[in-house]
Amino acid sequence: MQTVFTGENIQFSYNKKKPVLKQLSLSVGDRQIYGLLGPNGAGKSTLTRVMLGLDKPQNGKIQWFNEHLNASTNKRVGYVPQDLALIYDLSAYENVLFFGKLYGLKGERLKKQVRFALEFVGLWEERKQKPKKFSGGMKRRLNIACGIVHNPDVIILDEPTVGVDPQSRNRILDAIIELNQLGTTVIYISHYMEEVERICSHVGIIDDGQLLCQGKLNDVIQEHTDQAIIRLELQRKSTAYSKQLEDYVVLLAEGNNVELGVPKNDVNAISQIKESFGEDVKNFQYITPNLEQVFFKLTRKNLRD
Amino acid sequence: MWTIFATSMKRKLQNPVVFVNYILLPLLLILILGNALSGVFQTGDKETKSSVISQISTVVVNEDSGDVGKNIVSFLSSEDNKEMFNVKVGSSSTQALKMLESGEVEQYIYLPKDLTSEYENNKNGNITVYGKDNNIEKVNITDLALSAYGDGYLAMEVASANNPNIVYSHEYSNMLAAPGTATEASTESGSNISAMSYYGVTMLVLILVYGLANTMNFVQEEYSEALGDRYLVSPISKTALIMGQFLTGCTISILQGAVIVFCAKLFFNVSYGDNMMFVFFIIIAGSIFFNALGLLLGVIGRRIKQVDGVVTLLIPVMTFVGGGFVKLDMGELSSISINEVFQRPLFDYIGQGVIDLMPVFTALIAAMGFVLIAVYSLTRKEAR
Repeated sequence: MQTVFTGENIQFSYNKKKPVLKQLSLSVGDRQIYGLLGPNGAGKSTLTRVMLGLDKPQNGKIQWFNEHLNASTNKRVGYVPQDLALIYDLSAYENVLFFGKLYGLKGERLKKQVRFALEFVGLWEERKQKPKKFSGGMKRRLNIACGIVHNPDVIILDEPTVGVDPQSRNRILDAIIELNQLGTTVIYISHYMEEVERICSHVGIIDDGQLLCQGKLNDVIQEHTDQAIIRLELQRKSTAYSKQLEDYVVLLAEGNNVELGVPKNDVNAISQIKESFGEDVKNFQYITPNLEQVFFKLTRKNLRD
Repeated sequence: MWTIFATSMKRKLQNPVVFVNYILLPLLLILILGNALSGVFQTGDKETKSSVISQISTVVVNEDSGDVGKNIVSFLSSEDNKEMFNVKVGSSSTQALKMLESGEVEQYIYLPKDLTSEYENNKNGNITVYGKDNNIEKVNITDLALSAYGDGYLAMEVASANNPNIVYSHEYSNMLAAPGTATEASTESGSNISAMSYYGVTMLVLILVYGLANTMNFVQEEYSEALGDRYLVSPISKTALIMGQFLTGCTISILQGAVIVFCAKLFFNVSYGDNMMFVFFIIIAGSIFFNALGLLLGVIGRRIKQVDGVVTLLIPVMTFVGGGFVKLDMGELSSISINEVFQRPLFDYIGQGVIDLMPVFTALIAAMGFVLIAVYSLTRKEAR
């Protein structure tokens, strides 16, 4: 698969004492939805700025489409910043039109692309309104429309669903999948685990300025998890079962709820647990290994810490 | 560049707040200040101010036994000065002070006993004029008259060193303006610029100075945070980005300047000289200079946040200086003051028909430097 972005040994610090990015290497393939996952302060936004050339790394190599950053590569990359980058005294249509012009679109193609972008995010009907009258979700969608109007080969979306209602969030996520199906490579930066799991084909986990792992989502989960979770709701408080629990890896014991770690796909272990607790099990749940476990294993942090 | 320019202009002209600030504000400024000033300075066609000083009732106590004291009393009581001074001769200081306190006289002049000897030996005399605060103008006039008398006396002494009689036979001319004489009021000393023209010019320069703050704020708003990042990651060149904003600022300033000149002429018949092209050249040059400076400060202000605070603090100063309400004495650096660079050429042209554009050309060269530095400062930190 062709690589659209390559970053090698990127070193960046705002002051020389504390590096924000530490010899970080990252590559994104064509037509992937690459989820860059990390807790707040991990270095995600700084990495984005460095990738876009807004900040210059002290060390390392960055290439887009096997070229150094230039006006030509800039035309092929779209950017949707985390904060809203809109002009509030222009209408939604004029906003998208303006950013289309900045990317060199003209005439009929410009009009066509503006319409496409606004329809894509579901704001064509509201095109004459100014964004200050929009809800948070609508503003986010307009922010995306401004980033995709020039039909980029790659779009970088930095936390595009922060602060939006579930309905708008679903709409945005569906739009991103659709955009990818139309041939656009998506780099999706988020700290929402479930969003990354839902839409991304590939994932990179970043913490403390370092890329801890990257690859296909399923491969990463398989590679970095060695156990599944059994979640039990018991008749009595977990303390009443201390003898039975001695035989297992207890991940959580709170009130009547217990979480136990078991080897992946180990059917015997599951049967054994059912036998041990017998009729006391009110509710039994087998949780397959997921990104959250990978993340916790690699960083020893919960994502929302 | 044209995309940025056209869009920015559209935004500014469509936004009612911006429109009021940029276009209506200068209009209001000239209307309010013009009306206020016309009330103060304008009387009919000629802008003059009359001040009438009535006769000053005076008591003089002369303790000097020499000729100077005698001559001063004689001078004040002379027929020529009768219109100005109504002189009574007091016998003692105590009596004179009582007369002053009771309001019988408006001022009391005390001539000390060593006055003549002091004049002869030190070319100096110590005459005291007492008065009340409400008559301070009259006391000042008397001071001036006595001072002039002293100077004249000394001059005659020197001239008649070999013929002392000349001094005593000389008749002093009346050095005071007679009642009813008009006193020309001019705010620009040494020039024949009228007050209205003076403020017509200074208001024009003031509005051009505001271009600095307008462009600086606009650049800071546009290039801060996410919106600025979106501009900077676009394929458009930095020079085009900068020039687009700069052109917008200049156009707005030129519009404002034109509104000021138009309204000043229309409503107050302010004279800007015969050749309006000269005035418009100054408007264009001032717009370029101040907007270039604002552009630079705006770009620097993205990284050094204190710049914004400093400029905000300087706005009142700029208003007073640019508006001609105060003049900064910058000594050796006066050639770079707003007064010298933009106001002086207009005053010289309006008052004397002299065209001296050297300071303006210097400012234009500086403006080019500001724009270049702004472009450089906005350079994206591109990845290697």
